[in-house]
Amino acid sequence: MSLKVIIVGAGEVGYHLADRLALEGHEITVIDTDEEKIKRIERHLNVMPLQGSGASAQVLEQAGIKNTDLFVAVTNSDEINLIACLLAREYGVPRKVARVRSEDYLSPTSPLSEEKLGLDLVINPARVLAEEIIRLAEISEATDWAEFAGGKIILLGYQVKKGSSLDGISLNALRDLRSLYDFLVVAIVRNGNTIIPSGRDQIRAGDKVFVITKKRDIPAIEYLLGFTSKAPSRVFIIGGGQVGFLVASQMEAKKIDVFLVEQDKARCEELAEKLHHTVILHLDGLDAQELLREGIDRADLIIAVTNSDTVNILSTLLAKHHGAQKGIVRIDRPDFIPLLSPLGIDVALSPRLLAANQILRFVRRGRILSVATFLGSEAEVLEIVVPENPRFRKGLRLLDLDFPRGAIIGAIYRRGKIIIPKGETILRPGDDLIIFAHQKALSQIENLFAL
Amino acid sequence: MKISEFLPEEAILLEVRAKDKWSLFQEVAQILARLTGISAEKIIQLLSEREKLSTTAIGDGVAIPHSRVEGLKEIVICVVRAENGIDFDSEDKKPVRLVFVVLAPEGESQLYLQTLAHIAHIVKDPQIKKRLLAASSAKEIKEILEEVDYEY
Repeated sequence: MSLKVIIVGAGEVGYHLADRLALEGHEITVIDTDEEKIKRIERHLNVMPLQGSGASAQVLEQAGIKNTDLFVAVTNSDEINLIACLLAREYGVPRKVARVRSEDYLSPTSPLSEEKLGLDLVINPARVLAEEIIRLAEISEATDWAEFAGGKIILLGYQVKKGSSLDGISLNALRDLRSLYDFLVVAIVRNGNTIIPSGRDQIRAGDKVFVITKKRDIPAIEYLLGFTSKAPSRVFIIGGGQVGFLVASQMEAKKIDVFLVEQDKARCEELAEKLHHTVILHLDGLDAQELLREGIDRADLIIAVTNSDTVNILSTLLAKHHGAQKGIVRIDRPDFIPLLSPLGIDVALSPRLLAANQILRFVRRGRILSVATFLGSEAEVLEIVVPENPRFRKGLRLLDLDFPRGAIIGAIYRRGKIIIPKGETILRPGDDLIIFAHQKALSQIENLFAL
Repeated sequence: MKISEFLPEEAILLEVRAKDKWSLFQEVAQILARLTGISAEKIIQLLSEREKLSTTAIGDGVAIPHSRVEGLKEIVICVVRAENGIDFDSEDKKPVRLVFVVLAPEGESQLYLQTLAHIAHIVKDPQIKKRLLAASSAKEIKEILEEVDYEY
């Protein structure tokens, strides 16, 4: 079903969101006061651009607010976002999403709560980023993580290192392992290309593999692959802003030794008051000598979350060079992300992309979270329902189905139950299939499941 | 690859009477400790830790308990038969009559996964499984496994 969507704010979040939603066939209008941003949208995306303020009723009417299904306000200003959403409420828009940064509006005791403002979803990029960091810090080796089917099914991305368990393993061997470990490799990203693997394909060092599994099986799988799923015990956080503070406070609560590096003296004092066990270091994140004296070389995790991409990248590379184990880096310019993995940065996260993805998840509300954003543009994730026709009614084994090369069924959702399919799995009408497919295979898949 | 290379004849037990997997681990740990020099307590602990994550029974009366072991020099496999069946908390509820225990060195990566995959592959073949269950000596079991060679 195509939705009519208004997005206020054409920054990274708004842009990314407009791009994804337009690809899914929704009708999008993007509003921004900045002429340059509007021009960028006009040049690259198939959406309706409108220059003006999202907090102006006149502009909103021009954008067609009266028959809008979804209203998203993601400018850099909390106040504009909130006013725009209040206006949208007055116009009767059923679903409203606002990006809100200030903790003042977010605390449970605030007189202006989500509910009072009539918001369906509030996005705070710093919180989203902090949550993602905590989650990735706990799964030792995964670099990407997405969940669907209400969190029962997890898609994990692993970077395959030289000499690691997966280096040199064939998909056939992994298929045989399925009787012990219920997981499936649904995509391999190699040199920037996405491969949907089949039996003879082999995993190599340098690949990023995407594995689908049930949430409860993750510990066993990480055990098999030899990952120490131990939580980190000694963490250095570079940057004491909102994200650094949120991560530090959650980690110190878990009895992790946290060192928080912040350049600004006044902010250091503020942090020292709010945090109880974290060691606050008034230092420059690039001051290798001082950081070594504090033992950054023995850290098992570096989290670099200053406002500067360059500082984040360099401080992490420096720490890893001296012996720190793993690095998670905040990146504002998404264009940098592909460069970082070859440099040895384990995880790069863009708060804006994360925020946009959270909104997408909300919009779809369905079981699937589009993971296409990880996989690159050649691959897609589709959800297809097995049709009610004679062929499927008698029950068809997956291996008897002429399933096209370049596509794989990652999971089957059957009456609330999740199945990670094998060759002998029988498909039934009404099964909801989550399919990972190369674009070349799309038309064949559509034919296969035609009514 | 041939898994028989990692299977010493002394580690083939034709008739074990353990009632559940925990007492089986006690029994095989003694033999594996003698063969590898790793302490039996360590082996029991590692196999049990893995078992607690999820059962290593793969259905149809077969189980493949396994673990990496620090200090171990090379992969070692132990084959156990239990005519009366061992309770392994298998998903299909069937008692286990054929067990392959696999221990691998800490740093062993792809060969470990291939060994496990290979065993899982072999025991899915009803003919081979039948022969393994019918074999009358350790030597015969080893010979059957020497015949099967599978390249990934």
